Amino acid sequence: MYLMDKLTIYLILLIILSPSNHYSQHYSVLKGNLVDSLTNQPVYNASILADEIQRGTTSNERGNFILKVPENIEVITLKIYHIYYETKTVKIYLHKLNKKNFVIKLRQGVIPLGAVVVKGEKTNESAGYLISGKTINNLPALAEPDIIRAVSFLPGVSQFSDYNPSLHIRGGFIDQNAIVYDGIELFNPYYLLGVFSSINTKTIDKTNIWTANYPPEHAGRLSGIISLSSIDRESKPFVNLNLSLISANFTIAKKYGNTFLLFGVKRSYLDLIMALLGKRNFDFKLYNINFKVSHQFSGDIETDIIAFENNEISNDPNLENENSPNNKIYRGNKAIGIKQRFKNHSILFSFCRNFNEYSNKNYYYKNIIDDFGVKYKYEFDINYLKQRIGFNFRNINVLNNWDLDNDFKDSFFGKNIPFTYAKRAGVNIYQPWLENEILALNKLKIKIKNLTMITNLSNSIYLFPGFTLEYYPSPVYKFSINAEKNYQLLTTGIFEEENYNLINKPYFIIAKPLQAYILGVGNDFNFGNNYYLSVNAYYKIITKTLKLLENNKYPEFSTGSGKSYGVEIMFEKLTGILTYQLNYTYQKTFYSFKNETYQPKWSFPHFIKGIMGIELGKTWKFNLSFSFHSGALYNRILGYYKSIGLFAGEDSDKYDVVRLSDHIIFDDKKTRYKPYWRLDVSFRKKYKGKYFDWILYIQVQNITFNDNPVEIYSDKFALDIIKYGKPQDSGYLSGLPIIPSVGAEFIF
Amino acid sequence: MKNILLLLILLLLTSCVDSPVELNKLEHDLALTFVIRSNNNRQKALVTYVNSPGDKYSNFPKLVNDCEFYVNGIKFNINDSIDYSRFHNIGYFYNYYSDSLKTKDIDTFHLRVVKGNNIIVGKTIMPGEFNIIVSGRTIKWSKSSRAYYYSIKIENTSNNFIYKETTDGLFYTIANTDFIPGKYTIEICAFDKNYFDYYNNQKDPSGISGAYGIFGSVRCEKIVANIK
Repeated sequence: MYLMDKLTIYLILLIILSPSNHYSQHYSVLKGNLVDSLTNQPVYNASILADEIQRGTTSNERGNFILKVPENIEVITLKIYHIYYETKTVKIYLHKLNKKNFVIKLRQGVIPLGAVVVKGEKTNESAGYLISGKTINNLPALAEPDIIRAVSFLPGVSQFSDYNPSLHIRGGFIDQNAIVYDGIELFNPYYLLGVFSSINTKTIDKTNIWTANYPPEHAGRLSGIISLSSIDRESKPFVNLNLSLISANFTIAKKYGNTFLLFGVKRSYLDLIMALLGKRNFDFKLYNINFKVSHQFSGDIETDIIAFENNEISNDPNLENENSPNNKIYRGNKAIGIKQRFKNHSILFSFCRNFNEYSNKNYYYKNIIDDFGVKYKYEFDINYLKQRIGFNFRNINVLNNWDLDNDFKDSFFGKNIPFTYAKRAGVNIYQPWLENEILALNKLKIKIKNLTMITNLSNSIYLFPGFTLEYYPSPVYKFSINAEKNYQLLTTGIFEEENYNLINKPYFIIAKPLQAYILGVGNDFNFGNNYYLSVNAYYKIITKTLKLLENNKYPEFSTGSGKSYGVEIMFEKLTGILTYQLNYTYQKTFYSFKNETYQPKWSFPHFIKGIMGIELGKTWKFNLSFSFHSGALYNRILGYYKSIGLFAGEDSDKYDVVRLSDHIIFDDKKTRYKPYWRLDVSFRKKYKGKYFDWILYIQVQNITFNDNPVEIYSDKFALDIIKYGKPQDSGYLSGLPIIPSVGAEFIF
Repeated sequence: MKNILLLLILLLLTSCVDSPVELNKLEHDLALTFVIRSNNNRQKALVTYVNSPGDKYSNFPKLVNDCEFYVNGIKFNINDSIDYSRFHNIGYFYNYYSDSLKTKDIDTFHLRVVKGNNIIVGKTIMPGEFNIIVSGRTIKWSKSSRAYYYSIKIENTSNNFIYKETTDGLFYTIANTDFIPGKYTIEICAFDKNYFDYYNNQKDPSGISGAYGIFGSVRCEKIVANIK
């Protein structure tokens, strides 16, 4: 393996140091800029194709693009494609251009306001998706928009339970995902043990999701990266007040000259309602504060200061019994970051404290992760091939400290963890990386990209290479193949059966990272502005993963391996009165620990999901989302009997009897329960006002009232099934019932 | 485009079909649970019928009281009376017992139970003897041969302290912050492979064939010590 790594390093260095572009010698440079026809804002990520020279490029974050044109060409026809804009064809007479620098204005496509629009990230190699903030805020939700729920509709992503929005991306454990807000990782992205995500979606401009080929700035997970970007100066300014059944949310995005300000505050008001009802001691609240200020010193130099906190606080005495101990909960993240952007490079300094604390008179736990990071990147071109180099540094300190009682320990943390535990662990991670286009064969329409990351962890060096080949034979079709080695530095090592309750589990720093190899194939079809289709396939081999052992040598892990493979199909209609996205995923996942190979609970071979938006007239919007997946795996009950109590201390000669307990015989073969099916809808009606517009929304979760199972025949419930005499196949914990909710949004 | 849509529709249709799994059926009608304990004069076992999931639940098992029950050739007696005197609402009882089965100097035990055409046989090897030493708040014990793991029970009836834990190690340190120093009864039990498989690996049956359940053995040592 060492030899392989060494050879790979040589190969990469050889390729990287010689980026080549197969052009002839006499070319001139054509520089263009794409802007929105209404707002004059730059248009990012448009495809620009030049017919005469059979070359293409994409616009960068500032809307700029560059094409190298043979000097003997006089006229060039550019076709510009963008998912949110109408396709435009422009003829450029090169000899009439003075500086060969021009601006093209693009008109927005007919995308109905309020309808759902989700699109694939076409610049990424068939493993990336982009969800707009608008989509997240318009999707039918449980009282409030939820980023995690929105991501769950993407292909390759499965959710095990209605009550927990935890995501399993391409078959992975939920701690194999990272959720990143403006470059800062959140380890506590949930409220109420996972019922809601803790992110204020009104502050989000866009969400990028990578299921492979992870960007080097956010790498460090085996399954998925969910990167949230807050609203910036490119967005239209707004003042928004949203009142849901749970919380009030006020967000303002304003520009003052060269300074942009984003401020969002959100607070639940259940405690206030309870106070009105006379329960003044009900101290339970969720709140978010998001702050961002950006100042542009010149066209290329900009400073962002980002700060946010989300917190779940409970300090309530038991309402049934005033004398019972207070339960104090503090769970959330608080962070500050400073990002400095220059023309071609940027640097981010950030610190985030992720805290999860619980205490009452008798016991407590405290799990804290302090994460200090520096991320630097520099972008430039060599022979018109894009080059990005960067360096990540992270100092992560994990404090786990608890003193528990028996019930709490078992139900929240897991069996056989120690009653008392106190440990602090820290690690420094140094990661130089290079992501670049190393070869462009323009006549063959082939491009080869590299992403190499070197990680220094605990004085060991690990190399994580990745290569991508792109073939783009026509403006509407792109084929890509990607191979990479991936890693993960933090884990909870959670047991599979407790996987849906990640919230209280402590994270551990791994001395040797978890590792996986991923091979992906992607096909992207872009049918004009209207339809988009992507068909991806992947094969992932996990060479190292960990599971906490249920023994007393805490924390001791069992090392395992796994594999996952699948096909993911996404079809979208992006413009018009009706917009929709349909996804189908076929997926198989296996894990092996101690020579036992099994499918995890969330391994559903087939899932079909969809989201849809319809504009009814000028003021009505109707959105729906549906999920279907194969039934959950479970072990049937074959029978049960009484066994004598066998714990040594239970039995002695002084008693003439022994304690009886129920013992259940499960089928060792797993079968599948009936398929999961759910439909959620929302209606939004917009009213025009003199000083503000407002939207009334009504949404219904699980409108078909489908009785979906969440948990089937675990030991705990199996006994209840037997005791209450239910028929064999109704033994499960029910999922979400039908839940309607209303709210209002005010736009100033 | 047309072909791609057809392919998509085909995949959606096939998604509703899962390959059928041939499921198991109950292999045995009977269940037997019997763990021989080195510190008991009377050894007790339970033989019951296995219930189907649709059967009405009862706190009391369907007893099997017409077996021929032998361990190492020693015949066990039947006692199917239920003792309500000590535990009112919960059924506590046994139905096969023997006061003649000696555990000292004997390691290997063979079980043979006959009920009509059903023959249940089993084998267990008792873990070896070991010693307990107390040092401060750490309780250590020597390795018991053939033991797969241990239970520890620390008890003081006067201050109502009782602590139970299981481990595969050879020591235990009391880390409870509310621990009060004093005189405690410490009992360590070493469990055989069958017991370990039954409880830790969910292996059922374990140590027997012809019925569900377990035939295992456990060696227990007890001391009274002053823990500071």
